[in-house]
Amino acid sequence: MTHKLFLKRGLPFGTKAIGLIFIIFLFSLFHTGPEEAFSQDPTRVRDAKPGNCASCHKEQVIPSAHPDTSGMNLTQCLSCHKEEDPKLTNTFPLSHSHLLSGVSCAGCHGEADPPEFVGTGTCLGCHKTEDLVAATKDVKDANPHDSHYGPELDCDLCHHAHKESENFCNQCHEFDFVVPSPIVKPAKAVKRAAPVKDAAPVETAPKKKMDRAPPDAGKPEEAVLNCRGCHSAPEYTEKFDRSVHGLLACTTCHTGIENVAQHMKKETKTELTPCAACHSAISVQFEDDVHGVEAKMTCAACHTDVHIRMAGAGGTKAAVINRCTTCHSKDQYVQFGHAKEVLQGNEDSAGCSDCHGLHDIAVFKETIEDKALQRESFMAACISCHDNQELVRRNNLSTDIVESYEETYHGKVLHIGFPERVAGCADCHNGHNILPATDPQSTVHPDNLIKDCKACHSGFHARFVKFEAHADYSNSERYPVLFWTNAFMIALLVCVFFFFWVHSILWWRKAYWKKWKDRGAAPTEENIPFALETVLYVQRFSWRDRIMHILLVVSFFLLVMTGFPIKYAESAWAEVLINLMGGPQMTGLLHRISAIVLWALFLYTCWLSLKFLFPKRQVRGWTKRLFGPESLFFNKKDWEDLKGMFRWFFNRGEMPQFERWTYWEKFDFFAVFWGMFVIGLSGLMLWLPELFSYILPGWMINVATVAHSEEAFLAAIFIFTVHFFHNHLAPNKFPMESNIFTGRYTVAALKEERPEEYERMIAENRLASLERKAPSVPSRFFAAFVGIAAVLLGLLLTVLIFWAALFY
Amino acid sequence: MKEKFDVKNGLTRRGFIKTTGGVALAGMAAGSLFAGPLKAFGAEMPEKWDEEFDVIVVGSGFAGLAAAIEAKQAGSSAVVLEKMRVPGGNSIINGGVFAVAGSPKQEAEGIKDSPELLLEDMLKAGLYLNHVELAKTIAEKSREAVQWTESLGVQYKDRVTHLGGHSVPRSYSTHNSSGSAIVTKQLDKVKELGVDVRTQSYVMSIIQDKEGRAAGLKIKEGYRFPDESTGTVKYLKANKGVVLASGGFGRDLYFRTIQDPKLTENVDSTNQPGATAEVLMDALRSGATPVQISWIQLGPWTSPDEKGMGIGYVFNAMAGFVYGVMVDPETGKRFINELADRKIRADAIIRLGHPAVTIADSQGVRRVHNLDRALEKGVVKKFDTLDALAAEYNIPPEPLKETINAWNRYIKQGQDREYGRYLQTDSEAIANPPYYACRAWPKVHHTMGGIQINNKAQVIGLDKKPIPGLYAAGEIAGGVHGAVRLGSCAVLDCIVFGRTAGQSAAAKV
Repeated sequence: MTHKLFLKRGLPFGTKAIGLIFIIFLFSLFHTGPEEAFSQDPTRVRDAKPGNCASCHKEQVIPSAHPDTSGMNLTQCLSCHKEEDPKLTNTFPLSHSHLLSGVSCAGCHGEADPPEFVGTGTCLGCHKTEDLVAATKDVKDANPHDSHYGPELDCDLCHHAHKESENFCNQCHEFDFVVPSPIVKPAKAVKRAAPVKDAAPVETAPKKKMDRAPPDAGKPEEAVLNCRGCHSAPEYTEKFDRSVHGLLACTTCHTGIENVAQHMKKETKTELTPCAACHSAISVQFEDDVHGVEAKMTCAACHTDVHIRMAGAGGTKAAVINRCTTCHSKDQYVQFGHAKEVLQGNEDSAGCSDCHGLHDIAVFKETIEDKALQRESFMAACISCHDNQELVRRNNLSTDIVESYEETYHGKVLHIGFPERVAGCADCHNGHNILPATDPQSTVHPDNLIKDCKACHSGFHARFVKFEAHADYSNSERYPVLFWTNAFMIALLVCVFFFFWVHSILWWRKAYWKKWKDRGAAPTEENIPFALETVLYVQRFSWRDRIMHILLVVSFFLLVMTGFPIKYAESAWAEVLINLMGGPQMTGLLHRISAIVLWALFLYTCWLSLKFLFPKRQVRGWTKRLFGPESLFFNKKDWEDLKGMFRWFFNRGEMPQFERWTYWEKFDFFAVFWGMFVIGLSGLMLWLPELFSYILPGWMINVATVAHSEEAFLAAIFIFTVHFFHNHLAPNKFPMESNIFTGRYTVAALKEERPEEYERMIAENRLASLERKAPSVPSRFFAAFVGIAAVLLGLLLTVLIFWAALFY
Repeated sequence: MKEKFDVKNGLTRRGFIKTTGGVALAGMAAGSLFAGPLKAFGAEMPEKWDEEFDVIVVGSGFAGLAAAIEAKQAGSSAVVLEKMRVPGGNSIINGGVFAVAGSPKQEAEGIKDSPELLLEDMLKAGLYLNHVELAKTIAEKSREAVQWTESLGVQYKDRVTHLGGHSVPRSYSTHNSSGSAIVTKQLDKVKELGVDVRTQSYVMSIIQDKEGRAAGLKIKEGYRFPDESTGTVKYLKANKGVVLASGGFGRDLYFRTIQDPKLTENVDSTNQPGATAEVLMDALRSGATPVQISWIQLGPWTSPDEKGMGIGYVFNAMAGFVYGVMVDPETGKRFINELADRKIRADAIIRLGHPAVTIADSQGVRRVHNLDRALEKGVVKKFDTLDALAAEYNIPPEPLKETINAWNRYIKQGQDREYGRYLQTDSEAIANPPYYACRAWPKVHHTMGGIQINNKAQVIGLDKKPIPGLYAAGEIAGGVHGAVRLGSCAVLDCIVFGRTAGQSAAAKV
């Protein structure tokens, strides 16, 4: 260089300086002169950095809102500009797409000065003729690379690197195809291109690790070479070049070296470009990561291999485990179970990040909400594998571990939205070093279970832990009691429903058939009620009976509406109903209050029964009273009546002459009685499982769950179908029998429905004592309102229950 | 840019001024050279030739390449100069039809033909303005010429085509219906023989020695058509001769309008943009005798609905004119023999004052290889009924139907009673819908005139004697076709006289 010549001659300092200034002045003259005239034209700088527009262009050439392009390569450009028309590569000169693809100016023009002429031979050094022909073989009208001129024309007939390309064909033809890169006019490009600032990299390519281009040039050779003069270890040289960051310059990340000499004297410290500059999506995640929040760790704490990491390297579960256990205890976390499997090469098994995440490891606080969140999020991780049938079969694991958990109280309550209240997977199995129950070291080994249960439950007997957290009702070998309980309950359901539904259908058919047969027939003397009898009312139910029934109705409905959402926790309406009840907690409370009411009614009924059997503690004659006409207990007449009804159904006889209580009414009564025995006891056990462990083994809780659940189904559906048929839908009752609410009905009704009672009343001369006024309007209105509402609600619940039973 | 790099290299201020000053002076000199009027004299003999060859061929079309092949095969070194960036000129975009009289293909089809009949057709179309000796030469050598191309590997379709003005079907058609089929084989041969085809080489002037002999050429290398300022001057010495095969001037608006002022920029051309007159003009300046330069042929088959030769001409030439009819859309009537020579047809259409409409039915279009593309481009249109066709082009429907009925009668009768058009042996009545139509409007296609040559392809000077060392062939040479060139005779002309010129130059005739 000229000024160096000056310097070598050893001129005095002042002369040197003046000379230098003069030369700089000359340079500046020369630099500004021609360029001012063509300020629009870029200066072609031979060491232009890809993506660094400012290295050639003085003016802003891309929108100001565009992310910094310095150091971007074409692939990165196209990761956002992928669906534009015209394509990005058609909107800027070929020189740009070359530069961005790693072909520097010297790549074509050589190092010589002035730059070498670039001919077709240079192009063909990289581009193969046959590839070009193939690439455009489907271009409409004609393949420009295989025309009547053949495939070996000069590239620059059409393609120009530094100015607008042209369609050579179109000097004779009128072809529409676009020739890269025609520098499509900016106005057009702006109009048609996608708005750049909307194309947020994080959103468009969430899975891509690096969502932003490095902040500086691809690889300015000098910068790298200079650093390597000292930093010559393989990890900064050949290994680095092969690494995933190998295209970057040292100074891309290590900034702040303004003076190399000072740096070498260790007078200045380098600064690190935050990894977030490129990896912004991950850095956003990491802001909430436990390592960032609590341990204040940086990327480099784990990523110690940034200089040598190869593309696609790491990424295995084992690699993650090994990285995590550089800090976290190996013994505590990865000695057995999942991690051990992973380290033995089973990629099906879970590594740390499969459950915890990688850069988004959540921070859970010691609050109930966070506990719930934690339990749920980790369970989701467990379930994602253990409910994957292909995966569990492949690894010889239980295929129904998730399903069977969901069948238990834990599963159902968790499902319904109480994750903070019940045990999830890790509560028993622990999160790490998970071993099968047969292993003495396993947390779910019988010896260790007490500790697990104690975490939530207290005051239980050791046999409490016999509870089956993954009960399988269909497995008669492992869970015989459960299996047979379930089988019995289902058999009971089938028998009851079969009998009563058939009974009801036959009744319905017979009644309507009779009605149809008698249509239009003149009333005979027999079936015209005595006028007085139609207005004369007698009492059927006392105040006490009626209040008990209303309490029963209310508590029953509440129990159904608060219990069934748990039975069918996965159904669509479960959550709706729970919310309607006032949330999970309120639902539980209402269920228990209703249960107490029902218990009270049950006990009171027992008391009344005793009083009935032993009036004034008189034992004698109790069998007579038990089987007498006033009793709700079954007697021989019921058997006869039953047979009589079936005869009547089939037109083989008249309808039986009933007494005060028909056999189906007695069944209704006993159904509740039996029901209370099963459902009430099992309910109590489920309410107070720890207490019951002093009497019964833990697996009885499973039995209680089955019994409670199935009996509930029986009771609800029986009431909503059979009981409702008898009192609301039967032809002579439709739309409802109101005497349970008003307490009284007409003598005519008594005579028709219960002729034997009527006869008995006459014979015992008690009819007059039963005589009551006609029910008042408010009481009739109340009866109609409550009755119809109950029927409709019952039928709605029936639909919901069947919906859930059949489709979930 | 150049200066900037210089400065970076550290020129001293004085050196810098010297350099730029030199450049400025050189620029001024070049400017005066280019900007000044074309000199009446050719370039001076250079002090030093840059390169020398036995034979320099100007133009890389049929004729030029044929000449180069022959010259080289005769043992001379040769080079082909092409000013465009691609070789082949008009030949490589030509329609690939080659008139052969008495060919094996005609024999196979039972068509009786002879060189005499071809000559007669040429003379008739040429209004007997043809230089008969030249016309006779190509008619006689047609069979030999096509066989020569076949020896280069050119493939032709089996059937011969009947083009306008020919009394019988006699035209060979290349397998791809393009002259490129011939040019690419010629280029292969040239390459094989080791002859350079130098594109972007612009001939500035023929250099003659004191005896008037064509001694070489002053050219510009690296010329970038049409930018006059591009390229660097070189002098090429021709030890034996210069063959001018630079083609016609259909796209040279200046020269064309001098010869035929009607052919302004409003008239399109089928030619490639390099079909300009500079070599012809320099040959005239060098003393060549002009022949019938104002006979400029318009192609009658082109469509006004597309650029240049386009693709619609195939329909007109292969269907409309051969199996269909061409009508005046104003009257719905035919107005000319659709197979008359090009000039008669083109003139007739121009006389209408508006484009004519050619019509063929689904039978008539069976030899139109590019029908789908033409339909897609909308140059040819398809109609289910003649009424729809008439409506599209505003043709009165009844007269149109009468015209078609009359034509169908002529086919039955075996004679066109209106215009005496040749009926194809496989002609059928136009009665099979769909119907197809295309508009026809002439475009400048061929310049018959040029410089005078003799049978040995020697250029004849104004001193009535051949100019030594100067040969010409192809479209630059005049007289072969007279007033009108028949279709498919250009390829024939180029091959025959191109080869002759190469042979003559190599033999220094």
